[in-house]
Amino acid sequence: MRRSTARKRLLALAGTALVAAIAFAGTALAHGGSLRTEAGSMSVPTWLFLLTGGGVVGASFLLASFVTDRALIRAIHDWRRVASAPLAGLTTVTQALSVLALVGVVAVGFDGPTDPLRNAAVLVVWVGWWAGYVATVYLVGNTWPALNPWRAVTQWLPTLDRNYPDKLGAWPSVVGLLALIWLEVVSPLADDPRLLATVIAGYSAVTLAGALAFGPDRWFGHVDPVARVFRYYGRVAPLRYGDDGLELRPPGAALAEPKLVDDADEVAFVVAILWVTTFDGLVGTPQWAEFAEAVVGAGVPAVVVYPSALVAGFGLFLWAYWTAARYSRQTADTYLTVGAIARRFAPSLLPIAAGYHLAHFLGYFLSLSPALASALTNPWNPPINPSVIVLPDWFGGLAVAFVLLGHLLAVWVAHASAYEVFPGRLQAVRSQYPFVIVMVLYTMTSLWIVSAPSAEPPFV
Amino acid sequence: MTDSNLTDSPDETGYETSVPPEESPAECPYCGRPLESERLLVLHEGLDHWERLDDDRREAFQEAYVGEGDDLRTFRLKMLALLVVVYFAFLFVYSYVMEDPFSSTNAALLLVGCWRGVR
Repeated sequence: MRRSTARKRLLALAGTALVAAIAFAGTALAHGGSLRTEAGSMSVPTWLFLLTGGGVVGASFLLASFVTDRALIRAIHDWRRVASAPLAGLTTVTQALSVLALVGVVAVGFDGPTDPLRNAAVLVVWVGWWAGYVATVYLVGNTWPALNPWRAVTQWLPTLDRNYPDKLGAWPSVVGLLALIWLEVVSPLADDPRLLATVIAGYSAVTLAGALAFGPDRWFGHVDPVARVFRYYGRVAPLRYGDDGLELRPPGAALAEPKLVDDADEVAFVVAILWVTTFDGLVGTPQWAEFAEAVVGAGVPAVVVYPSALVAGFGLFLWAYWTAARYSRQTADTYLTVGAIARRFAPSLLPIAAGYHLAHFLGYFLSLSPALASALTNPWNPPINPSVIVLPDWFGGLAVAFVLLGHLLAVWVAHASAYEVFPGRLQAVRSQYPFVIVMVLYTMTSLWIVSAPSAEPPFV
Repeated sequence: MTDSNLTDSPDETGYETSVPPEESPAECPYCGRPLESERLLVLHEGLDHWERLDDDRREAFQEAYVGEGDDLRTFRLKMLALLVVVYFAFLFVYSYVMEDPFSSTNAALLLVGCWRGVR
């Protein structure tokens, strides 16, 4: 009895401290980090702003380590509500609609207005799909299998069912993801509807050919990077549709389950998701522009700058993560292999990527959604001057809050996973030291990118 | 770290492990996972194989679990001390940066200032 009241008091204390830490950092950061346009008005120096962000993540780890009751952690993660939902019949309808939407996007891309703010294809793909829809995947649930138009087409057609070489694992999707992001960064994919339509047509051709050759389950389960991104993001979300029906769980709870990430290739994919969201922001900073100009000035051809930076940065991120896993083996003093540790904690990186995505794209989605709506009402002849919402200044602070919330969820998921893996509770906390250091460094990097003034990426 | 073996996983507790050749681990009789000490083995058995334990082992588990409490209490105190240090370090850094190093009301002013700045 005394134990349990002491525990409650401790929890209340930890809860209050966490709220206070977020409120303190939130207000301090809101001032500093109002995305790029606001960066000029920062009254707290950048280094202090970054340090505060890192401090919040570090402090949240300290606070999470106060929760040492296994029963409580399990209760939080095992909490679920299941509702039967006969949605299976609906899938045919949603798939048919999304095939129609795909055909429509390509048609409008090739034949619609050339102004990107008036072209429904550009707006649907970037504003509707990549900004808005992706956010619903990690905030609500993964609906992509019910929508994926390419999967729908290949399910309706006979497939060859060739053997997929298992040793390739998830590596093709890692390469595919990096290639897609490279294309997105170096080409005017968001400005040129014709180019966008061509790329979608090309992607469709490759995807359909691959899925018809190896069968849709193999292709979308292993090779297709888009389906894999959605599958991983969907694990952050509270809703999941399974055999029992619709299942509601606390956000991120599914990430602490074992076997979500099975091999080194899947670890690489999770790290790649994190890296590409970072890279996308990095190339928009003036420091990158300076760096790229200096490198090209030194005689390196401009074409190789972006792909080599993309691959080098990915290598750096992978190295940092595996180094943390290696040190974790020492701090936890465990017989588990480095690989087993790396696999077990990789899913905890996904909320960070989701938070970063939301920070990047929520404002973009909201400000351009009227343009999307007006382009959709009349795709071939939309109004000449589409309206755009101008977001208030405090919205930048919200972006910083999303970055931090992603990290806080990540810290918690890693804490819960460690308690599942390690029999000793102190051992579990110790296993997290190296990961927390890496996470603090990463928070500071991503906050730096979010708060840096905007610059046009050179040589693209 | 040459001797590596993949423990089979009857209860989803299978983990890839590698034991340095000079060490003799305490091996779990139910899933074969090598544990780093007898105490960790007792904890592991209680957490992952509770249904299969006899009363003695269950009691040993409960003792070991409660026994972790002392270490955890010390650990929490250290963490609390660290939190206090971090908090005050930030407080001082902020008051220095805001160019009013001796005022203890700086934190409050900072919050108000930020809030107004945000608006």
